[in-house]
Amino acid sequence: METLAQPDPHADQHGSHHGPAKGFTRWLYTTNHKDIGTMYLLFSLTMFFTGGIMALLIRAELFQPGLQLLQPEFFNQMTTMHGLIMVFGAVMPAFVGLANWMVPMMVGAPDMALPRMNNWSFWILPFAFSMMLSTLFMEGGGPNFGWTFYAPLSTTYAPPSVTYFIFAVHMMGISSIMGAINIIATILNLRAPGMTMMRLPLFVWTWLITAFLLIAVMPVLAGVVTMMLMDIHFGTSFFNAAGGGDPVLFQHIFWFFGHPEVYIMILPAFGIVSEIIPTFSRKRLFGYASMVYATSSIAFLSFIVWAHHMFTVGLPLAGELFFMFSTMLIAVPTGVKVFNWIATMFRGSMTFETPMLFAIAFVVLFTIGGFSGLMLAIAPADFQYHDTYFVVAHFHYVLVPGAIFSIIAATYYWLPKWTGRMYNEAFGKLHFWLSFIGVNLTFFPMHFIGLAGMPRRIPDYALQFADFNMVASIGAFLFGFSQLLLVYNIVQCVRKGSPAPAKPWDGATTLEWTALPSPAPYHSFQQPPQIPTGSSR
Amino acid sequence: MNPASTPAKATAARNPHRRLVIGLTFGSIAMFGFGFALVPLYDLFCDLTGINGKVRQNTNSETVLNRTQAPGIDTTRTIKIQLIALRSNGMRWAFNALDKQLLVHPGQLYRTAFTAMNPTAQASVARAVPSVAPSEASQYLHKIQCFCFEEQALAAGASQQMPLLFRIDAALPDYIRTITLSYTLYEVVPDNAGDGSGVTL
Amino acid sequence: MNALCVVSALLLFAAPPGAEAAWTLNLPTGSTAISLAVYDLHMLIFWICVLIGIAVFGVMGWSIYRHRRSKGAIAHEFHENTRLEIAWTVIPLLVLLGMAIPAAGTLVKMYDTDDAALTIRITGYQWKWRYTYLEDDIDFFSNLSTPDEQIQNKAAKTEHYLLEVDRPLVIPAGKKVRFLLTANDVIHSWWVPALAVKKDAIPGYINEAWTLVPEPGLFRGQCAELCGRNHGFMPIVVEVKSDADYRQWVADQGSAKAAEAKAAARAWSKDELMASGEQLYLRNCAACHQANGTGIANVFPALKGSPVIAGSVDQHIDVVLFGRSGSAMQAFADQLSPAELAAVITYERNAWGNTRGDLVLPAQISAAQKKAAGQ
Repeated sequence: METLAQPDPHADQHGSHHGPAKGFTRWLYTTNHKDIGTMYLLFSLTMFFTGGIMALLIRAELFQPGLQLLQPEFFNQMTTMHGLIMVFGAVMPAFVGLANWMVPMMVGAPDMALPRMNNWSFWILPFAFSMMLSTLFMEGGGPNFGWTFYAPLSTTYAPPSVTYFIFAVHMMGISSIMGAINIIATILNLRAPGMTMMRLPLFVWTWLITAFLLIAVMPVLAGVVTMMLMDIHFGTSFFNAAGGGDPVLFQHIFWFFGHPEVYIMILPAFGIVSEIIPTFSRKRLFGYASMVYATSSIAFLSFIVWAHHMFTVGLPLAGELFFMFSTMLIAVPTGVKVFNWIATMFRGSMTFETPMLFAIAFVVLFTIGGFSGLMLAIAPADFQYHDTYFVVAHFHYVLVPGAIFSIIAATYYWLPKWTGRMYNEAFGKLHFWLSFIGVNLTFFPMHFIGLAGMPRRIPDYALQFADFNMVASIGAFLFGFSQLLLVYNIVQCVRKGSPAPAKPWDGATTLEWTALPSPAPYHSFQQPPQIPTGSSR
Repeated sequence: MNPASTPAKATAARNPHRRLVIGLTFGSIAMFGFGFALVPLYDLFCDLTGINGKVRQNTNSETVLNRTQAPGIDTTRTIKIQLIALRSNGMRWAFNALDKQLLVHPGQLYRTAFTAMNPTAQASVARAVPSVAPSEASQYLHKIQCFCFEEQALAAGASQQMPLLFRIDAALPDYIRTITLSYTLYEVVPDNAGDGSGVTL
Repeated sequence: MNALCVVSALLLFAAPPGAEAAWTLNLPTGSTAISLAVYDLHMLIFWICVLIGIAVFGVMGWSIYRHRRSKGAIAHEFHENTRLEIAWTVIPLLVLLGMAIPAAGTLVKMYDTDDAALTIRITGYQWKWRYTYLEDDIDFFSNLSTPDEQIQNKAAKTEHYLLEVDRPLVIPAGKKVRFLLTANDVIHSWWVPALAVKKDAIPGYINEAWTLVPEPGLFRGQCAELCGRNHGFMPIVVEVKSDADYRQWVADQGSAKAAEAKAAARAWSKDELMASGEQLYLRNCAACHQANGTGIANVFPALKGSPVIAGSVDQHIDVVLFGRSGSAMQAFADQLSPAELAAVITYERNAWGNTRGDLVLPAQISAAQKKAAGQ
């Protein structure tokens, strides 16, 4: 999400043998983890604004009852695309970008393990998303069946552009899998001597687990869209009741991918927050080992809870009970994480720079999202919440002030290391407070609208939902436009920020701060760093 | 920062990467396969537990007959069986259950039928997809003779009785007192999947 | 910081019963024993969350207030405490167990669909509901009745905007009613919040649900599963009548059928058919084929200049009555009366520059239906 092409005056000092090439080919052919990380982050920022514009169109339509701006078929395309772009285009590439930048520096490696594959896995993405966005201009319109694309709405009843959507998903999946393989290889094989597994920074740990989740479930997503493709074009009947198939089977396979996917979007966020909170509390992370175990158990449990997305499809009683209990169980390791963060802050020596503000807001608002998640786990109550705005409120609480806030926090936190310059703290704080107010104004009222009975994915609604919808729309515009402050702050930082010291955060302990200058040289750790034996976490 | 050390290191590091990458690639291919394996696994799971009410005809009628004969007839219980005939979108045949409702004893063998009639001027083929509610009951509903999933062909104007011979297992749990068996009739067209748009007028 | 406390305080002042509109904050209690049980579960888990929230955010707020460097706080060097960590793993586990038991109890009750006084089949169509009473010969469709002018902001919106239908589902009070849910095309979900019933309607499969409403009343709900363009426009209205009123209503349905047959038999003028055809077209066909008959390219075919309409009248009748297999075109034979079908078809043949000039009479429709039923 950050650095614009820096001319890199430091390249000469730190290895005159090969600095970056000049011009566009530098970015096209680069195998440097920092360049690729930058490209991922800029791509993600672009997608964040693309998906954000769609969200604002949705909120503008929902500002008051009646159809004003969008017709229902286009509204459905907007909700579908907003979801797909934010999940696959904004959140996931941002985390991969952060991993590209930070994992090698945090484990003391010179680069990613497989630099050429790294280049491919990024460059697939612009093509995948161009293909997906181009469907909006095709006859019959783009995907309009929701980001969960339930069959048969997405097969027999889909617009013709669904084929392009399927290929785009395939490409994103391949990109994610290659990225995940690279991250695993880097973490397992390229750690500096003395960097044992239980000394890895938590961001690295959470990403390692995330990468395994990606390898386990992205192929399943590829499988399910392939089955759709075959149903649409080759006359099979995986999901078509007419040929003996079963539409519910689609949902089982989709959520077998979909639930771990939820954790793919939140585990790296846990890692980021676990870096930032100790830094600004000037205190070691509380319960490092239990954090690692909690993350692993969340990842494991994510494979056995998928049907809680399907409580109303008519599962047998035993199935409902099993998935209700297993889902409630996830609250335990998640709770451990929240308790650990708070214990880290407790009796620390806290300061509240922008990254810390976003991290604290993450803990609070993610926990609120966790609470509504716990409520949704109660199957009988879920019959009332399912597919309403209560669910919309829930997952936006874990994804916007959850995943997105963590990405913003990471950006502010590492920006001095990436650019060698400080961002503007006053603007950062302004950005935080506007985002914090905007996000709550947008999503908190959605709990009330949902409980009052408003279904999700509708372009128009009954009059009793009008007031809170108006509040949510105002909040959405506030939140959306305040993100321009982030862009402004990054641009100003790159152009004329004051020079940053190697370690601008006095509480930071990880390698990128302690062993590298700011900005980090184009090639870092060509000689493995010395890991002080006492620095175990 | 010795320039020579970089390529040397990279070659040395390649071997462990190769093994790991092959392993992980293999893993992702296996998971792709697993996605497809979920289809038969799901069917197997449905057969075993009866979830989603997807009942299949046991191909070996004799064994079912013998196996389900054993516990005898439980006249103390009467189960209400509702039979429902549904037609899918665009299905032209007239399709009806001969008995809309039956009161049965577990263990006893019953015969009923569905009638189908093709009123159009063309011969056509259809397939009936069964569904049972509550879904838990499907594993206790033994269909000795049934037309589920089989393709039925009817000439223009022809009609046909499709018999259903079934028995409710005496092991049916006490809390199930009503069972609904529905058949949805789908037209079998050469390319049932259509062209994706699926809509032509 | 303590956002949850604020929320809980707000919820305490949640709208009193009756003041339904506007700023409603909480789940309604609903009108059945089950919906009340669900409400109780909802409140129980909510208060558990509030208590945990107060504890967690309280400690956090305290730390933020007291342990800041600007107040001279010095970081303490502790980073582990096995006993504490075990405690905050085990205690939530016990709390969850306490929560799971009543939830399981309610779920078991919701799954007991047996011993119902009557069974109604609910079929989801794009974008309407069909109600078929298994024990009585009653079968009808329920469409949104909010006029398009209100949706397009050309007329003031009335009280039950988007939550009103032409024919509500009618059920007796004080009797257990079992619902069998299925769908004709894509997955829909039948949801009436006041009854705490939400169940997916899946093509090819049947699902079960039930309700027992003690008192007569009118309850509104909506489709809860994205089902295409007009997903937001297929509401549900359930009218619960006293037992006597319900029996009267069942009897009335028979005479309504007779009146329909009478209408089909009488003579119709072209103007009459065109006028009623336009209204019926807008309500039943315009969602896909558009009000001006141009359809949507590549998705819904245009009727203006359509080859089917240019072809034989029998073929046109056939498509409207029986739909097109494997497409979104539904069979309207069961949805509209012969007189209505005749009007719609006549309208389609003579509107938007289609100049077939002929008119289709209800008797032709009845004949086609008789033939299709094999009589």
